[in-house]
Amino acid sequence: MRMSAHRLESGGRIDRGRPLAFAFDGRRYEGFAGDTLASALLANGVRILGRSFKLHRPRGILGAWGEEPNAIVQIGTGETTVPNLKATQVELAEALEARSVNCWPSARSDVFAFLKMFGPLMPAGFYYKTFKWPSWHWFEPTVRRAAGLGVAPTGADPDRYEERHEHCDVLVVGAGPAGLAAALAATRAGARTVLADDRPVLGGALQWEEKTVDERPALEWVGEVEGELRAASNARVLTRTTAFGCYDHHLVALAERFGEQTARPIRERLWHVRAEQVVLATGAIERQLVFPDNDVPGVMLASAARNYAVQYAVRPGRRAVLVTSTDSGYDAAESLKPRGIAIEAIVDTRMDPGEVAARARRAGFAVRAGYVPVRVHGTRAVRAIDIQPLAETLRAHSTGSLLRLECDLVCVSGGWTPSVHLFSQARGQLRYDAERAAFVPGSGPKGFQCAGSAAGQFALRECLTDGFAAGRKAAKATGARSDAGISPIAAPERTAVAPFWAAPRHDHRKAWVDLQNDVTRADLELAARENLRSVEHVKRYTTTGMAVDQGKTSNMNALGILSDLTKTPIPQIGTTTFRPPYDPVTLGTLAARHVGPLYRPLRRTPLDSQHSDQGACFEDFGGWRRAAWYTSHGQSREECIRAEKRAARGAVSLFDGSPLGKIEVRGPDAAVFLNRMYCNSMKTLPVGRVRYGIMLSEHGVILDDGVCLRLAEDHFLVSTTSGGADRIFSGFEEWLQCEWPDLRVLATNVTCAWGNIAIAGPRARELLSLLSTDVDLDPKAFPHLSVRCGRLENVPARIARVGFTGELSFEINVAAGYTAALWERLLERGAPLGVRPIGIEALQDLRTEKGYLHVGTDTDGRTLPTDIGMGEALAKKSEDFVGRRSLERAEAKRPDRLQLVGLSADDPGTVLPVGAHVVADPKARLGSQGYVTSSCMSEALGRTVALGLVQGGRSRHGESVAIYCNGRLWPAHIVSPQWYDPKGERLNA
Amino acid sequence: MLEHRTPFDSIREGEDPGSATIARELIVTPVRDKGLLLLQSACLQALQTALEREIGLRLPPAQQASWHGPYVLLWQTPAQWLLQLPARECDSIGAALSDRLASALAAITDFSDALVALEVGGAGLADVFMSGCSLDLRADAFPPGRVARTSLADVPAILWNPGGSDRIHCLIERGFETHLFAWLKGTATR
Amino acid sequence: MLRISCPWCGPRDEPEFRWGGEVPVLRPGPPEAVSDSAWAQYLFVRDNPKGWVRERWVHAFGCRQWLIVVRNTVTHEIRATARLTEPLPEVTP
Ligand SMILES: [Zn+2]
Repeated sequence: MRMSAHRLESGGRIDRGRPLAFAFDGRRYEGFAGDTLASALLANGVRILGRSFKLHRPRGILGAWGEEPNAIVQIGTGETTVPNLKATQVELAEALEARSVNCWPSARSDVFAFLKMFGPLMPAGFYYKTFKWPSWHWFEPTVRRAAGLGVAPTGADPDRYEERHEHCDVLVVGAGPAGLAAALAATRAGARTVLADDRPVLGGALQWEEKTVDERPALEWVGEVEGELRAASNARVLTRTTAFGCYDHHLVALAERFGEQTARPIRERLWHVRAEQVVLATGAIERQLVFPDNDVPGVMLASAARNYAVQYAVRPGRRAVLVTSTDSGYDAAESLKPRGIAIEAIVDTRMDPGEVAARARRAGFAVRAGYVPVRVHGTRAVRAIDIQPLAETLRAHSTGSLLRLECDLVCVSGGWTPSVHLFSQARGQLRYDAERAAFVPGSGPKGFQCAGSAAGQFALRECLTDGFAAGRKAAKATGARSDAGISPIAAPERTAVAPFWAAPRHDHRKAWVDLQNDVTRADLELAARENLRSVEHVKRYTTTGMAVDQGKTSNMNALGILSDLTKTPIPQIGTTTFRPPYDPVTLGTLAARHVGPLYRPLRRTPLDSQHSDQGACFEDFGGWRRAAWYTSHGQSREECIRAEKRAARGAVSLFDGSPLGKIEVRGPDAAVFLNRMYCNSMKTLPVGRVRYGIMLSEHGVILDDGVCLRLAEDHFLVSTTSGGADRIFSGFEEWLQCEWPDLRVLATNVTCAWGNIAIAGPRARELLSLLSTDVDLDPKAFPHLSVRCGRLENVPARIARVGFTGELSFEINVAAGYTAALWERLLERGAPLGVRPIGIEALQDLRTEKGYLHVGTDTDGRTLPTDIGMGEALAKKSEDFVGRRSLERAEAKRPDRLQLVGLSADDPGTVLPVGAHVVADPKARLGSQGYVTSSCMSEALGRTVALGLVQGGRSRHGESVAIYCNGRLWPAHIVSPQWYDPKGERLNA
Repeated sequence: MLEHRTPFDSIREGEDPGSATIARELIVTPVRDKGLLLLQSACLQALQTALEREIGLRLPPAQQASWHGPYVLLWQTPAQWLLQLPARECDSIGAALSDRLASALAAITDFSDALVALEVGGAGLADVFMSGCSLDLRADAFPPGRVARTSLADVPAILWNPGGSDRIHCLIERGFETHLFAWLKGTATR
Repeated sequence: MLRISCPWCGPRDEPEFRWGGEVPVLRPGPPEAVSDSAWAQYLFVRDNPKGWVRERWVHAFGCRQWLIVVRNTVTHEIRATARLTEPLPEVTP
């Protein structure tokens, strides 16, 4: 096959037997397995991958991995598309489709490119200063569109995401030389070890640095270590896995990617790793050099150029100029030259680079020491670079000793920044090391160690010994006792650096600090001039260090420049706060399995399949899947609900009340305890009787309501609202354990042990008597608000005369396993009586017309028992109860509190909207005096009914009011909330 | 007499955990014909004596299970144990224990219908469970006889190891079984 | 995410627990003998220190027991956990 023009004839760790076709901005290209999107594009001669954020300047590839600020792409189409990936991190896959972002129609020809002419008009803080009137939010959508990144998919993501909890002794983050050595030592010592690295292959920089470990090629050593770790039963090796966050108590979050293959069972997996010991071997990132026009495509980190040439067999240029302020920059020249990339010159910003320069000269390289770059020629690609001795550049407009070097590649090496992100997230302290010109880990949190170049040890020899020692120490701290053996070794290297934060200004050309956010040295000068002192403020004002790359190649330069400008030493300026994620994580990964039906667990009642059979429409009510109403052939939702209401009022209805909370309270002090939990008296409740009760918070506010059944002197059954069982039971436990441990009470939550069926309607007793039971159903023997324990159809049952409809009703509790058969029998026997199952919708209307409140609907976070008419019951009670003291506050006794009332629209056909306000001044539509809480058309009364909370409402019955909602007004009257059967004759039947 | 049904009877086609095997690496078997009694007592000595006389079992310490014949005792809280026993003995043993504890502050509650018990086994066991549970459930960290109350797939769950390295028993509140089956099936099918 | 060592169940992740506020908080009573300000103190006023604090948490997804946790509000370090029946651990600010 035809070799791409920029692909080397041989070498590299790509699979030339597996060509892959892909597309970028609609054009077709070919690369190889083992390529990244960036290396494949470079191999195809594509140099412009994006446009800059604000000014739409053409931008090329600067880095080779997660540090990349420019080459931001969108991958895929439709629901599986992923925006804002770095082309340098995207593994090439067959049929991969990628697009540049922030440009249209493509990176090559971008219509917004005219914006770059306005560059001088858009300094730091430009948006904040310009778009002030009427407000930033007015302009934001337009500005965001022109200065945006990728586009989020609109459809649901069809891919599968997983999560996994993991526990280990030693977690090693990073599988470069230090990480491999650490994992090797920890595993050999016997510790349960996890090694995670964000690249697809292990080895880190050893993949392209052509070095020697233990006297053999480094990659051979990497292969041996990988083999040993993968074979060990106590080690787990995770590749393509980014450790993106360190959280409290040694929790490290990892995002594992499964590549861009088309048929993948899982796309990404979130790991929650609890590690006793963490070794951070996260490496270091090379810094960009700040000089005029340093953003022209073709300016590339020296380490990246080397990476492309060695690992991917790609020639990033033909003639290179290497600009360095470090010894390590020289290494790139030695890797590039034998691969056919001419080294025009090595420009060293240091006056006296010493031995490293002498050695390079001996090897035939032209070294220009003490020179700095002053200009790059070319806009869409580097054509040449001008350099000048540093002393000359300090003189305004000097052209003395200016040298033009023709080239198409400028390799830059501004020193190394240890990747201390995770260490810092874990609250590790950083220390500025002037010799290394970098922040390095200082005193660390317990159980965390940094190793290798993450700790400022930039030479391979130290990476290996440091990593090995860290792994052994970590394993030992977890109690692992086996012999780890001896550390691998490598030859010594020179790693000196002299910081060169920015070239002096020259001809007003822009020197870029943060390429992703278009922040220049001049922007930082402006910020300093405007007296922004805190580095956090400078970051937000200039946007330096923000967005997808978080300033990985630029932050140190910004700090160095600020230090020069403000004459403040770097340690005093400090760094901005490192926060998770280290690298962007998809929302799909964070959501993992918690989507769709698994978003949260929904409970089913014992009658779930019976409801399905009867055509129930299910809805989520308080975490339970419940029947909202039952469909009937050819009838609308409203018709079905009306028929259900008619059955309850005119014949007999069945309702599944199984989700109602059921708590057994037993023991000699059960009555004393419940008397403290309810605001009304429960001590005086006779055995066999039932009482409606209300529970309060200590603030006096209504928490829950329900009936309390006394089964024996020392045995109660507490019924809570269906969503309230766990909350109320937890409250019981808290009071019993923390406040009244002396009470001899046992509470048991039996909610799921029992099913509950409510039979309601004038023919309820008739229906129940069709079943066999030893309970005397006669109203004299079994009056309203009483409970009987007996047998029903020969199974144990608790039957109570209570209900939520206002009709004659029986609530039957049987073991959950018998509930379905009982339901079926009641429907079968009751058919001649006109029995019908009713859902939540009908029940809500029935209780509203009866004036029964629903806690949380007809009460809010301020409602006290006195506001709903419980004053009398409270007055009778002399003992303390939860919330009692709060009811004595002056606020609790104000006459104008919101109180529960009925609201009667003057037009009996008007259903007042829930949430509509009672307004004091109907003309101005101002002055809320309360609001509608429940409202419906009453089937039984032939008119609409409503409940509401109204200021001083209990003493305003009969008063005419105006109700307002969304521009409409309705006349209405305040009435008693007991709309239906106010005397309770039907209830007591 | 009414027919007694378990949630397994009502799980429909398609939502079924299958013929026990829900994926190559995971086998889920509903535990049937077992009753459950929740034993609560503030007086551990009285409960201990009653249990020893009635079924010959000692109360296991925190986080532990003990078993003897068809009887299994699972620690739940410092004053609460769960007794798993043959379903047909549930009423009689429940009544006998209640009698023996009549004078103590104790409560015996029939929990047979409150919880759903599953045995989950297979090579993928720990991997599947640890994707929805933050506990270390690998065999060496969760040995035979260990009991844990925790959450699995966002549902409160009682997990215990009945012996061996490839099975875990799991008890959840009735009503959550459909959610758990869907989760198990989805997690195990890769 | 915190890792809290339950005195009964051992170390567990924070989502298994629920926070219950600073301790000790004494509930004043009887209600008729409690002034408005004393009641407000009980309901609303807490030390909220920067540093070590004693709190109660409940192991809601585990043994359902309330426990005492000595936690540093700056570093989130947990120095001790204890049962309610044990003496309340001392804290030095
Ligand atoms: Zn616990």
